[in-house]
Amino acid sequence: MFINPRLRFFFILFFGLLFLSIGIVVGQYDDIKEYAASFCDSCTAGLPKP
Amino acid sequence: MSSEDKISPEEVAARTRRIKTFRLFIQILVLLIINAQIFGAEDTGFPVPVLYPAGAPYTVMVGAYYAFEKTMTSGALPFLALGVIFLISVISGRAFCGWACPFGLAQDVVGFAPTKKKRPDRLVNKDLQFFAQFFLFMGVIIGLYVGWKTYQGTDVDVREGLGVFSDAPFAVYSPAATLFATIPYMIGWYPDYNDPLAFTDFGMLFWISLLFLILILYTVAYVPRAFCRWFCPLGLIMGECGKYSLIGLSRNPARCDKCGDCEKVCPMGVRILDYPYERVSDTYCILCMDCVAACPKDALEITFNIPKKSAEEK
Repeated sequence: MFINPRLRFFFILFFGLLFLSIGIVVGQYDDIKEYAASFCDSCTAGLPKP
Repeated sequence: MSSEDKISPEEVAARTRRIKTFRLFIQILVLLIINAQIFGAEDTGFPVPVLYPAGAPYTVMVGAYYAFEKTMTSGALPFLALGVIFLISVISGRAFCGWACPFGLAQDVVGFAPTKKKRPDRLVNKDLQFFAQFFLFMGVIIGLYVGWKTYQGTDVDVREGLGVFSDAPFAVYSPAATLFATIPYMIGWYPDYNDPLAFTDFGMLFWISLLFLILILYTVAYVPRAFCRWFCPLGLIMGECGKYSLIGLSRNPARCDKCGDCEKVCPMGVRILDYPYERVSDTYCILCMDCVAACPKDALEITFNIPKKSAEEK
């Protein structure tokens, strides 16, 4: 690949920070908190709920 | 230390034991922190780059891969989850896999079984990593499709058709979800089932995910960290980013005599000696430090630097 490892490091770092900032600004942290608080049906698939 | 100096095998064994014990201690500590509701802590919902289901009974954090899929199926692009995965892996590589992941801990515990261990190397890993690529691909496809339908407000039919797969697809058959959510809930709900025949009401998905968990743990007893190598979609993303991480592994050319002891103990089958001295930039390296402890010449060390332009790739 033409992009050298140092550039790739900064590339991933940049997008990591960018995505994290966007995620926080658009309120995804609250959404994820909500998912965590709600019951996860996928995690207990096939288990009859009492 | 001169190139002739060698640490005695007894000292290497003692050092290996110390590092393994310390890592086990950190893994158990992280498991307790993730499940801090046991101690009365509140649910923070903070995404951490480990494979842990949000549906586990006492969890205060969310596995970043679960957050990644769940955000997509909810109709948004998973910026926060991806941001956390990118940032942590570009800083610490796959160290979270080696030192923090609860399913990694489960694999390490099963790995104590006195079986003859096989250590398939990089080429086998590359072939079998198809499973992780498949899980990631399916997660993204289902996530984007359900998310798009949710965004349009026409997701009812799709969700009915896909059932539990429309929520967080990988969590349905993830062995981590089975071990840390399904089984604890099953035990917790057992008194409500009243009679043992209630087990006949268990759905096919439960038995399939249980069978998958048993198969994985059986494989892990023979191939260390088999799930991390071949099946983990989170490890796949973190490995690709982790090749360029700040924290890495390097070899001292003045000390290394290429004896290969490091490769023999690597639980992920990394061919350490194939890499240039300045950096072992392998997608499978989980920075467990087993190789550092096993080196009789003290040639391997954990470094903290930005990868150089010349660092080779594999």
